[in-house]
Amino acid sequence: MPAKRDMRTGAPTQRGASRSANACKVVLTESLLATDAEKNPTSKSLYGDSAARISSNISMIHDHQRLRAYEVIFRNVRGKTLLHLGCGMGLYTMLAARGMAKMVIGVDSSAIVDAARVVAEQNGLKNILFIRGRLCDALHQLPADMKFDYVLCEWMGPLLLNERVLTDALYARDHLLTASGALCPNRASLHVVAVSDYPFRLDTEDFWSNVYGFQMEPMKELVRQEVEMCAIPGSNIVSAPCLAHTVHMDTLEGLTAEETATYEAQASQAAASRDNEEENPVEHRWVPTAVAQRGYEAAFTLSITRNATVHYLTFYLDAAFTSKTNPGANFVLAVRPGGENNWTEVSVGLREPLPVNAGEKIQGTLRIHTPADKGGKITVVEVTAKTAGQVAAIETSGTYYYQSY
Amino acid sequence: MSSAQQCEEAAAEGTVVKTTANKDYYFDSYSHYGIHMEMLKDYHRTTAYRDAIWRNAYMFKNKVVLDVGCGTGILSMFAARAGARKVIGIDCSNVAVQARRIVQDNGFSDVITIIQGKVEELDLDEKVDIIISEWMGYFLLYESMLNTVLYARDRWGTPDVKILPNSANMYACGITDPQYIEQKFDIWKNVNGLDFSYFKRLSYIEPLIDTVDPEQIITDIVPFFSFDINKVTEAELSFTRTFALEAKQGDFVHAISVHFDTPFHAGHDPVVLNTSPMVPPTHWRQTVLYIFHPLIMKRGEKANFTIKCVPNPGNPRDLDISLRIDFDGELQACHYDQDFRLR
Repeated sequence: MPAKRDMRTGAPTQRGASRSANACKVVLTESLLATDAEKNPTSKSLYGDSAARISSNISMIHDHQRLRAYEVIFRNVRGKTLLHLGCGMGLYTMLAARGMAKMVIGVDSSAIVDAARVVAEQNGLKNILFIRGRLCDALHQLPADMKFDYVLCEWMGPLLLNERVLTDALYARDHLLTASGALCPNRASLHVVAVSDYPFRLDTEDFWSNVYGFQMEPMKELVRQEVEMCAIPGSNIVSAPCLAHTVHMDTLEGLTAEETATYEAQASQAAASRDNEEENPVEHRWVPTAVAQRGYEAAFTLSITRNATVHYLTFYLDAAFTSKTNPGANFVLAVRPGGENNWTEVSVGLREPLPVNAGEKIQGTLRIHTPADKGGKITVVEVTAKTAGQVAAIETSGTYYYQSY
Repeated sequence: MSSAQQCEEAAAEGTVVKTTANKDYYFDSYSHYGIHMEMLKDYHRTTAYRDAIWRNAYMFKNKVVLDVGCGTGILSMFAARAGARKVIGIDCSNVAVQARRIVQDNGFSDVITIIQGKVEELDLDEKVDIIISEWMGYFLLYESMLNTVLYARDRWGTPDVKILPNSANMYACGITDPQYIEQKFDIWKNVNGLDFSYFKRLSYIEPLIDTVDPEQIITDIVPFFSFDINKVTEAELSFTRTFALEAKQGDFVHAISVHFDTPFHAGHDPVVLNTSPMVPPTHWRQTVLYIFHPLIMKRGEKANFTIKCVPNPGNPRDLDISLRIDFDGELQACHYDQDFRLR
């Protein structure tokens, strides 16, 4: 790209003594030496901590849709207490603090919260506290007996299930909210659309038929069972979206007494072993069986919008917040197939492509669950889909795996 | 790209799960097809290895070959087709399961043996004549598997073992990138009315892995670190080097772009795998070190740099890079140090 001459980028931040004969020129001597904390924000625990990379937080700044949604809460937060689980770089946490909240606490397992703490301080925000860890690790650091008017937590995973976060959200809902407090968002739904994308199929699956003259058929099975996470161009979407399943957090069954006890035991264990920063707190935290195995089944009907062959089913998430006390604070993070969405959509490749006509319906079923024996890390998606038979009567089914990190 | 770290991850978590025919789970990211697809679709990378092997097929005749980090087994099959007597492909990732079947499907099961495990635990009944390995990471050395290759060389190589590639060189050049500075650094100064300048400061510590457009290059491209894989020791991979960059046109230098090449000179017919911005991008792209004070250079002016690169003491997979910048130009002088961490 042609260089834009922008003198601002060359502006001096400090004028040191000139080493050169030309006394008028700008001399820059300020070093950028990383402090130990910046260089080694707890060594091993950084592995897989992509949020700790500053560059990966840029998208947050540009997420105007989400910001506008949460702003309705920041505007109503004066004198309130707010707990933000998964606060990331702490932007929303700080906006809430700036909205004159009484106290705002941001919790996140990424090292980015250490940087957020510095920013909050530099902005003179006093009513804010950042804690690194999962809620479990942070419980003992919360001010004693503090209850919250709002708990912000995006508890859903790409297929609605995210047991680890959901467990924290349920615990917070049942034990950390004031009587009139609200968990936000409190509803999320999964939407299904049909996608036609032959080139992608060729590119990911048929590619293995001939790799520099060798055949790598066994790799195809890895492709077929993978839940793909990538944005889908609108031009490939060939059906109307169908809402398949909704989770209402206000009515969702909480942790059992026994699970709550285990959760609290984990919390006190975390309190006791605070110094052991070597481990990634995300890695090996217990998930209660009841939550992990909750799963769900759903049926869907896809109304086809044009003649096409369906190769993929794509799943979108939406979320909404309905306040019991303040209807003005309600918001929806809606689904826009083919457009900008608040969570990246995931797709599964149909074992057999389904040729369909415009107006035809694809009937299907979904079963999504997370086997507890895999540590809650693998979400299993079972899909069946069948055409109405206008072009060809085909029923296809498949099992796919999504690995959450 | 290396699977060494995934190995450690799996070992640490105790989740090395044997993948059965088609319906089991997989855990380590090198079992995911995407990473292998990316590497295989890196045509320049794969054909460099293929050509280095096939154009020197005479070297492989009746020889024993070790493929360190074999992945899908592609390099092992190149070696087998070149006429190797025996090829051992080793990978600690679950992709070894697929590799074994791929080798069988292509009719090489009597030549190629795929082992799932670590090179440090390998047990062979003879020494190997040739070691092939694609061990290079971003910035050549990041997350690299080179230490494993050196271990294999010392433990299993014959005294005159041939290693493909047999050497490696790193290069630097100064680039201009006002757009990125504006979008990724200056943007932090004001985020919804909050001052996130601290994030801007931290951004400078993170090298960027991205494709550099040749038009961005303001200076000459100079080599600053080279080694011979047959001789290099692990300790020599922590290095300090100096180099000077000369501006070929007057402009801002916002960053130093680093790339590498790996010559395959073990055989008669040489091949070079090059990741320069001047050739079509590979999956390694380039490593860009944004400097805290951009240099305002005039054509013909020279800037001096000292680069130091050591594994991070807390996490040896990460690299601590420090850069000393000394520039006395007509419009500006810069004398400062900057730290980077590649992780």
